[in-house]
Amino acid sequence: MYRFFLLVSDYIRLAALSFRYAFRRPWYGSEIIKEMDKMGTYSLPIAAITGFFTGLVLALQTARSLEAFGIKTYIGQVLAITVVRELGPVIGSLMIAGRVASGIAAEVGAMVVGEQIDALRVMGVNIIKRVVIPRVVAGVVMLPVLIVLVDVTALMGGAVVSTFVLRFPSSFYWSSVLQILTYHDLIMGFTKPVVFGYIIASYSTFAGLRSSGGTEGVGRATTSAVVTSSILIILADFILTKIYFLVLW
Amino acid sequence: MADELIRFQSVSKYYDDIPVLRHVSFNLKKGEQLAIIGGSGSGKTTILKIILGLIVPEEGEVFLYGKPVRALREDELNRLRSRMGMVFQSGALFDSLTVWDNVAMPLLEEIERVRKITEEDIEEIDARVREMLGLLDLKGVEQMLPSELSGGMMRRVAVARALIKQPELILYDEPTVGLDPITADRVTRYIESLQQRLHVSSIVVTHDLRFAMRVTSRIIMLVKGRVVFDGSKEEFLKSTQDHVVLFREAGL
Ligand SMILES: Nc1ncnc2c1ncn2[C@@H]1O[C@H](COP(=O)(O)OP(=O)(O)O)[C@@H](O)[C@H]1O
Ligand SMILES: [Mg+2]
Repeated sequence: MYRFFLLVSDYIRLAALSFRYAFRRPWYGSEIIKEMDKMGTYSLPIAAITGFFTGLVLALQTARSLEAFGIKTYIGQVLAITVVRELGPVIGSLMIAGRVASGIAAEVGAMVVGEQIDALRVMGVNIIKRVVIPRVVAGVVMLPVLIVLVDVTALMGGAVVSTFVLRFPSSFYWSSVLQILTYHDLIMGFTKPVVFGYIIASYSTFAGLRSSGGTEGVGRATTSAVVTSSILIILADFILTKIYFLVLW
Repeated sequence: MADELIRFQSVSKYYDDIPVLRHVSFNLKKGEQLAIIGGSGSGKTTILKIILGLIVPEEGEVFLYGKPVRALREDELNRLRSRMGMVFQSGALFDSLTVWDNVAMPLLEEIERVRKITEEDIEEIDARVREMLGLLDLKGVEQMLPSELSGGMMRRVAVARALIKQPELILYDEPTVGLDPITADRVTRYIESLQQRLHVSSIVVTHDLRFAMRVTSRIIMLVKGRVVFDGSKEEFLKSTQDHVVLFREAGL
């Protein structure tokens, strides 16, 4: 239990320091671009595939339920709300967490074991600025972009079901999607991934930096990065949803 | 005391309550060349990282240039660190950067902390990097990645990076480990000639006794985190201490 509190306080300290250092020289702009590029290329296919099949399955299930009530014409509206507010950000972020968190933790852990982190510190490099902040910035910027992709492909999955299973014209589906979505949905749908991106990038960098005990330690850090950031995402989603409902409606 | 670079005063370090260094005391004077020998896991790397302030010991006091490390602020520590060069055991080169970028990095970082890097800076740094690589017979590899180099060349690049800021103290962590005997011998010769040419202080950590004998004059022997011998090469050869005798028989 003591160790747990130590872990939490270390993580919070890291988060606080990364805010403080973000505004001081030197800036590692090229590191940020590199991390964004990596995150994008790693996650693009995952985001697209996850989105599309989630959309397909969700549409099939939803169509069944709506049919039972005799309101299957609402398929576009129901899908749009569920996907943009909740499923896109959460399922997308969880899938991306699997890829990105493990990648970051393994990479940073390897830098600890390979003594590159020590080498940087000996050169007087601030590890938070050079290693933590670029990854966190990349996560915060890239996650919303990737979630747009998840949302769009999920809605395309819905369009496939609506057009070929329910036999509605596809223009009908898309106009009901666009008609139902409000600014509130978009705010909710795109601020969540900002927070989730922060969680994934900061926690997995933290886990990587803490890894000790050779390659085995890197393995443990990687697992912990994926598991913990996934749990934190689900917790944050609950809290954020609650806040949005209090503030926006 | 003015010429004392390092002083360890009864330093102990624990990992999860397991001691890895026990009451280690020694000092290093300016210009002195010291070898720390001992089996693997005896705490040699830990000593080097404590010197650099990368690891903080639980007990005892460490002085760098007469100042207690414990009391130093981060920027003061960085200033002292920039007077030291470390060759890490694994090389610790950055895989995604070229040899040139790796060797130039300490210089680039130093400038970037205060201002933007200019064309003139790059020219000046380029000259220094090329000179350093030349000194270690590494001409022509500037644009290669570490993964394209042989083990011996990688070690030399790591040495070049450690020396680029002309440090007053060089720390080598097992520079010959994992190399085949011929390559190890070449790396040894480079270090030997650097030691004679640069006249800087150095600590060489190794479990290779023959290598230690060639590159230094003073030897400290560690067994399970404890200093069991501290003296000159000649005294080491004559010592009848059990640990020393065992190590000598195994290593020479
Ligand atoms: N981060 C760490 N966590 C736990 N134990 C460690 C850590 N680093 C080193 N050790 C242990 O400390 C001892 C000394 O390590 P080290 O100084 O690297 O030895 P050497 O360099 O002489 O081989 C070893 O037993 C090693 O397992
Ligand atoms: Mg070692």
